[in-house]
Amino acid sequence: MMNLLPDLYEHWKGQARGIWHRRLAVAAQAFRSVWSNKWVRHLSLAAWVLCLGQSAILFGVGQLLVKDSVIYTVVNQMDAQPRALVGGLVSWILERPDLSVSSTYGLCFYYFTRWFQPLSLVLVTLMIPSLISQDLSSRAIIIYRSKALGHGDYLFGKFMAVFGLLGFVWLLPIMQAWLLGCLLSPEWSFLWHARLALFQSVGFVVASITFLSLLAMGVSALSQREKATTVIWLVLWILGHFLAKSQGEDHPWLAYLSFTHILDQWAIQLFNPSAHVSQLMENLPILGSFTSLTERWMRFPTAEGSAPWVGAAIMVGISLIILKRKVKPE
Amino acid sequence: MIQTEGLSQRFGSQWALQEVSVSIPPGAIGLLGPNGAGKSTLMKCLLQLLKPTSGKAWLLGSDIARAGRDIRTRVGYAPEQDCHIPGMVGCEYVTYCAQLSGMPFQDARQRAHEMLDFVGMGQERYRKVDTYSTGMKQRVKLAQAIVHDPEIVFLDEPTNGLDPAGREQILQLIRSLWKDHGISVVLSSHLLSDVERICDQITIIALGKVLMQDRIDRLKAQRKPTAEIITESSAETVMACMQRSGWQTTLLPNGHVQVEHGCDHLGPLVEALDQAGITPLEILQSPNQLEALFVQALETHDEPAS
Repeated sequence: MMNLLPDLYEHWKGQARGIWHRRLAVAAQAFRSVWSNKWVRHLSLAAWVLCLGQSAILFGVGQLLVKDSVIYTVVNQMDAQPRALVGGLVSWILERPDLSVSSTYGLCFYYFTRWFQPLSLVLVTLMIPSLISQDLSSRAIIIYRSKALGHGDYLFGKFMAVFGLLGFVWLLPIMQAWLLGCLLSPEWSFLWHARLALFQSVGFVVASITFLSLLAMGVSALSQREKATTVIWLVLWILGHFLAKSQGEDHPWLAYLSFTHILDQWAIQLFNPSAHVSQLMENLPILGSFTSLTERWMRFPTAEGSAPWVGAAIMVGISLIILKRKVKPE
Repeated sequence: MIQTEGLSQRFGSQWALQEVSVSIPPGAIGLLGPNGAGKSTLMKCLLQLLKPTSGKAWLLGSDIARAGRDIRTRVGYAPEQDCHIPGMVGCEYVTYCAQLSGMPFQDARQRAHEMLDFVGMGQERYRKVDTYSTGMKQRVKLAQAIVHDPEIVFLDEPTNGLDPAGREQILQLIRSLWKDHGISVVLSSHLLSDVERICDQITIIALGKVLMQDRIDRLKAQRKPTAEIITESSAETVMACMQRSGWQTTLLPNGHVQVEHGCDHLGPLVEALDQAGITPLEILQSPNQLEALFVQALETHDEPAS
């Protein structure tokens, strides 16, 4: 038998917090909900392991300048060609550290930031059902909207949660890799010379996770059925990627149906890896003898001007319309 | 406390609310009406869960269109449907709802436990809300609605799906909110008895229109008590006897005579029958004045339409 104790009611005499406190409460709850998925935690761990691997690569590059380092010794025991390449690189770093460190880090971070992309996309796939779809199916939207929250406050809270988690597995590791790489380098000047790579990485990752967060929210709001939203996201991702690769040359506009193509284009435009490669080729003529390497790894797609940004803006626009129309109490 | 001016809400070609203009002072207010009358729609419009098609509304003295979010820090709402945040246990859920209303976490957690005690939830608070019975869900909905100590709380059919004992407990709690703690209650229900027990004011809604709105005691005073007389004598004899006492009579389709006697008790009526030598088989006091008022309001509303 349940007891009734109406006398227990007392008026609250505290001071209510402002709107940012309420938005953060929504974000924290959404973050906890996503974090409760063990695969999300595993993927996050993988991102940080990857970040340590990248730091190790940068540490290795720095160690080439240290005459008694293990890496320097190993390289000197290699064939003549790689030895010549590394020798050229070391001379260049010593002669023009500003250009060489900037180009090397720029190129490294062009690849490093991209390594996190598939991982983040898988993470978004796992997040999508618990973002908005679940709130629609359990009618939690009514509860949110009956509290002191507006439509925008609720969505902003959710956005902070996705942005926060993607930032945790993409932005923070890349910044950490850069910082560790610079701190483990033999010269403090690396911190200054590599600054452009950091700015480019942060710019690219922030733009990417903002874009992906808004897209993910739009997809999550499309249906009350959690599995359906996951399938829609996967179809958008895989079909879009397939269309961009197979039909992109004949019908260029089809490529902009793929958000991965848009991210590829942003990376090309922000990092401008071709410029770094030209810089390297100019200063390290020996690179020309590594034709297979340069052809396979250093051939970049052509930058397509403002079209990817327009494509992204249209996708975000559609997503915002979906959020406006679908996220409301029944 | 609640004021509306020409408030209307349309869904497609259907008007859920039509030009509703009311002014309701603080208290325990019953929103009474048949299913689909527009009670929930009125509540949702006042809480801005729906954007009214036209008209204006003020809640706690503020225009809802301008200060909706701030007003809702002072308002609680327990919806009719099951609504919960998936995966949360009861006390987490109520704590979270308190935070959404602006309470700091420590206060929210303490207050959530107090409110769960208040609504009579024991160890069930540590179970996931998804697994609750209907009664527990109603209690947790009430707890989340009052956790931030609102000035007014809207309760949409709070006794739906409850067994008699559970219903009694919830009604007592709701009653104490206004009587003992000064929190205004707007209770939407199609159950007349619930409204009569808890509320001191009533607003009758049907087909999206407010038909009647006043204090219950005042409305009851306007309606004279009636009784139904069942007798072996002819209806005409009974009617003549009653009319001699100055009471209005109606012959009901079942052959009983309805008398509008206007007295607090049946004594004068029995006396009049006795003097006329009529022995009644049974005299039925009008079952519920509120019900009669409700039916009368609906009938009055239907007449011009037909």
